[in-house]
Amino acid sequence: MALPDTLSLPSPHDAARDRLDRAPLGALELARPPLDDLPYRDFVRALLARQGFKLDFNRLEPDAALALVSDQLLGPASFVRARALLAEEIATLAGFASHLAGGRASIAIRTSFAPGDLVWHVDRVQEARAVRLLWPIGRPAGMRVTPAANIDPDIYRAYMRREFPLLCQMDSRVLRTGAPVETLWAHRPEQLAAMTSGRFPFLLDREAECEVTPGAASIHRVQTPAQPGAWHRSAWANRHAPGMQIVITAASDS
Amino acid sequence: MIRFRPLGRTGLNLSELAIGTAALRSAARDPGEAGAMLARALALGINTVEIDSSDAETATLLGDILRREGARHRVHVIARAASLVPFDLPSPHVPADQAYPGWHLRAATEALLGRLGVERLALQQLHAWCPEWRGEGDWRQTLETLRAEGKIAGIGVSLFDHDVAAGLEIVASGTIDAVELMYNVFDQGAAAALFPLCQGHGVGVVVRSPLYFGALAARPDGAMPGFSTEDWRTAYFYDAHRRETEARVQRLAPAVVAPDRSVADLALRFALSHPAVSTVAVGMRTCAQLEANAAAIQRGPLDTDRLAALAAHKWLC
Repeated sequence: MALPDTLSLPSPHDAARDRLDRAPLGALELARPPLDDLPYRDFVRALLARQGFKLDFNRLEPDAALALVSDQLLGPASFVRARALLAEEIATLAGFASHLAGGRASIAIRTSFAPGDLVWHVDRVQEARAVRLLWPIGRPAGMRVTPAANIDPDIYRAYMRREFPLLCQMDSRVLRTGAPVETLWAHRPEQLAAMTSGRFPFLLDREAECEVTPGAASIHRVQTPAQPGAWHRSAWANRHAPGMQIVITAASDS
Repeated sequence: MIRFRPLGRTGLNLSELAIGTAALRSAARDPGEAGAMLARALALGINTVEIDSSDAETATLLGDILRREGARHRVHVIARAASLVPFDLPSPHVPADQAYPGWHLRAATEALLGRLGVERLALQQLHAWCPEWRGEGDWRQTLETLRAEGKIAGIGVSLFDHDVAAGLEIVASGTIDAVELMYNVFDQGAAAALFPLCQGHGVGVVVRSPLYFGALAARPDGAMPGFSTEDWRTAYFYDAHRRETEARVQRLAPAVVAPDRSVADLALRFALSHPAVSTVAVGMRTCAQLEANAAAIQRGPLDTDRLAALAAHKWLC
């Protein structure tokens, strides 16, 4: 089932904020052109052909961060025009997220597969208001979203007490070695089966999930002490083609 | 005969079996039974107890028993401080000066010393350790001051369940004396890198949950013990978790050979088998449990062949 709430950009910030606040699943889909139609598609494909990486921009502007990663992985001064166009787009999206949250946005890009994202979760920060914008370019499957009421909180708490550190360790090992999840967790067939199917023991209705259109971006509420977050997960179909995921998190205490 | 092992560089020798006190809280309804168990443990030569610093009820009960047995100077207390900010999972986004400010560690340590009536703790530890905390806050300075004051003998960190990787940097830094962690037949993760690192840096190891919260103390048919509705393990072992655990315990049954009498015997000896391990803390409430666990531990480490066979039972690592 497709995500029922969609938003077109550009969109007035107040209206978008209101839509996100009222979205039953805590998430909105943002239409984006497919990879083939993007003017920087060759740059993205060149990055995707390299070993998976993750980069937090920290205080770097998008153009400087993309230059850093491009120079290192693809050689100095390659794709200068394409990366400038992508940087401009990322900056626009970061500005949008920043306005929605009323605070500064932090940006990261990732081309590696993070198996931990296959488990239903909410993102969390300590600030009062926060949103996260995800734009996965070149992924075959879209993010899944489910209502908070579809999660059994007691079983989820118990499940994550056991699994959370193991998921973090697997994310690190996959990033470091590129080893297949099936090999790393061959001794955990039940947990592996849940990751591949999305059918976890804490899920009340296994069919009650929506999918963001593959290639589209989405923006969702991050859980804070003042607001609930959106429950979401990635899909097993992305494991061999994680794409280039642009992750923009904006938060504020105002 | 209970044997002893050094706790890292602290100069303390701990009994291989330590009394985990989490189970004493439920025994507090029958302090006579808890007292009898602890008195018997002391008589057997067990000199180590492990306790959550924030558990005032258990600390008071333990303090009363130590006083009655005249054992305050004979026991080594391994303490775990609780974070000032409650969290369910390791939380690196909570900075160390919020989770474990120095004043909180000092207050927790001094309160525990007072309740127990002992002069010095063997160890004070930060629980659910996050590597990000290493350079943050004043926790380390505070614990070093407490050590200089003779209130603790060592500084340690306690790792969240299965979170072995969180201990690597701090152990390698040489700034702690001991690390407490889960290690059992299902979670053998620490043996790969952390235990060798501990040996290399003279860092003691306190093993907890060697019976995986009681699951490895199953009946002969693999069925787990029943837990009361107030016991947190009732929720932890939700149906699917319980079923899988029981099936895995049943698969261990063929590995139980004499002199071991049960999966629990095998599991306790497994936990003791790595030379990096200083002591194994087991939650116990009754004299019968104590006698069974002490008998298993006294049979010593498993041989190499049996350890190799148990590698096939890894699950939570």
